[in-house]
Amino acid sequence: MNKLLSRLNHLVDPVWTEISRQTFDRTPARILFTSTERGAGTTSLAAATAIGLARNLRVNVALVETNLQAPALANYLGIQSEVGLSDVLDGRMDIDKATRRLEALGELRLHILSSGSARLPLAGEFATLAAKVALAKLGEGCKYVIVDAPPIFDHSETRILLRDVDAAVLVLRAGSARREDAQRAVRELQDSGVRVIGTLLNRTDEAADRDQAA
Amino acid sequence: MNEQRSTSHQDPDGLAGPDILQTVTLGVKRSRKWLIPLVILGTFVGLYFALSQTNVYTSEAKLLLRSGSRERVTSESLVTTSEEDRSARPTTEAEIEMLRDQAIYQKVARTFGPAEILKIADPTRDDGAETPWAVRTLHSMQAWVQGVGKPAHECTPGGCQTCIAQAVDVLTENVALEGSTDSNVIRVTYRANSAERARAVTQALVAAYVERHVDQFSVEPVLEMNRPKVESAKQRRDEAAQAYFDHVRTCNIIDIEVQRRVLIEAGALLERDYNAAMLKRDEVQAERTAVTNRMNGLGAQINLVRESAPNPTYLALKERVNELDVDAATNSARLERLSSEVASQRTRIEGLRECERTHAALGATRDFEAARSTELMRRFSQLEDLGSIDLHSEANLLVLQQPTLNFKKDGPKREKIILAAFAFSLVAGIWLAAMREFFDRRLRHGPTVERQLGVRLLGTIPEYNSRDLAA
Repeated sequence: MNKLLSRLNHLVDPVWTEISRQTFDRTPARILFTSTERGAGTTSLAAATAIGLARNLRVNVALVETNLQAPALANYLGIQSEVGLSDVLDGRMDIDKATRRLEALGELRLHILSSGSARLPLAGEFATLAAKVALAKLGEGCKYVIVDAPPIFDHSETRILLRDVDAAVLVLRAGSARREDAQRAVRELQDSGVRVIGTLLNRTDEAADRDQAA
Repeated sequence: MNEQRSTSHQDPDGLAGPDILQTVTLGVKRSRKWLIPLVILGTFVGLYFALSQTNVYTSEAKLLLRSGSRERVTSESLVTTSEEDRSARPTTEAEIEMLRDQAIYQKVARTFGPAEILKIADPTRDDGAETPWAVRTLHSMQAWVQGVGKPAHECTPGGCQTCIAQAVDVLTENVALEGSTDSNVIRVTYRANSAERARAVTQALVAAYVERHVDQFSVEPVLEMNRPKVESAKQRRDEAAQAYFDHVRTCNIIDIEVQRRVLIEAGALLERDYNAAMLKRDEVQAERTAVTNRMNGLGAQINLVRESAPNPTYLALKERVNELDVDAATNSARLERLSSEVASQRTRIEGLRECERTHAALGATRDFEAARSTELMRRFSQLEDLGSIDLHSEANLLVLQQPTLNFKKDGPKREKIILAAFAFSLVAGIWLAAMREFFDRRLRHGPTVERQLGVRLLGTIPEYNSRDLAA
């Protein structure tokens, strides 16, 4: 597992704790992680949260990376990244074969579907039946499906994904995210009928200081 | 992870605005990387200014403002009769305002020499073998920083307009004039970077102040301005007197009372003669009528008795009628003459009265002009007496205390400068940091995120660099 994820494991405790407190209408509950800009750290925080849920609640958790253009999840988790969601959506690969298990946990509680072969997203491909079926099959036997989505303003597929998720966590990059953008993102999430669980302020200076002091 | 408890229930819409103390604290914390160097830099700048400033010495002089008659003289003083209408004596404040006239400083700059005023005293001039090396070094640095020995710019020996203007600026910046309402003493202080120069400039300024006061309240201009008025008054007085005497000569009324009495007596005699003549005329007329009537009655009897024989009575009566006719004619001529004389006498009396009226008017004018001229000349004489006083030795602005030679430095207050620079840079840095935080539109702090978005903050994640991850 990536060192960054190892560092993040104990830092995302409030996130998976808050998610576990939430009551959802369906199982698995789909929780989308998105941000207002690139480089906010959405993928690493989504992965750390998924690991935290699986490890601490001892439930099956699925983690899917939907940013087809810039894959990063496989690298963070140290898994094979040849195949993934893009291959499933293109029909080149079955979802079961594309899904990986995180060996580091020792049990098969975390199902990972990385974005696979990097390519430009196709318009409306997350609105297709294939995508919905893939998402449904990925969540089979799981309590939570964590969807790692690209920035909400740059990628229209994130807005499409909002129709298929129950809740969202907004990741903001400290010192970079503009107040107006964050407010607009929250408003957009809420207008889509998605429950906004909360926000994560990533890459803060003050937090680093406190962490170092500790 | 440091979990931030939600505060959105307290301020769900983020309408309360950022707390000032929080903004300052966050701003300082965020900007501490440049805030501390800024404060250090500011303190060093203050240190540089404090050390680079040469010592300043102050010379002090005192002037006493006496209020005399000269300070109250105006052109109106010649014509104003009331003492209250005269101009008020100058107050200390008014005197100080007058002494701030730029012309005074220009004059001092010219007489003293602009180069001398602008020249910076060499801080090393008093350094000797016993002077500590640190002090010598400091003095050398001050001399270098202040540009000792370098002229402000190239100019003619007498000083150009730029030099004069610069010297005036230096003079006005370093001089201080102080006075109070309940005192006539004006305190003059001048600051320079050598005690000797401070005293010399103060001396020149004090002399210029006194001269300015003398010029301002000199009687000469008032005298010169009003001398024609006095001459004019004299001329009017003489003209009025001449007109009076001319009229006296013309009317010949030197003995006007006698003339009037003679005329009135002569007139009375004429009137009496005239009245007598009138009475006689009436008497003659009555007698003639009576004689004529008697004569007519007698004539009828004669005619009835004896027509041709003359009657002596009748003849006597007829003779009497003839005599009365002669008297009447004579009296009539006399009456006519007297009437003419009476009319002429009345005309003369009326002329005499007119002459008297003119005489009185001219006499009043003569007396008025004479009195006016006398008063004007009296006052002018007083002014001339004032003007004859030696203005320079008896000026009403006196030097109460000669400029002092004070070798105790009056500045700069180096500790204060350094402390002020430190305080200023600290406050400016905090203010800039707070402004930076206040106007920053980017999200940086957990509480801000919760307040601005109204959504719970699940956590803040620190920035990890490669060294952190390697560790």
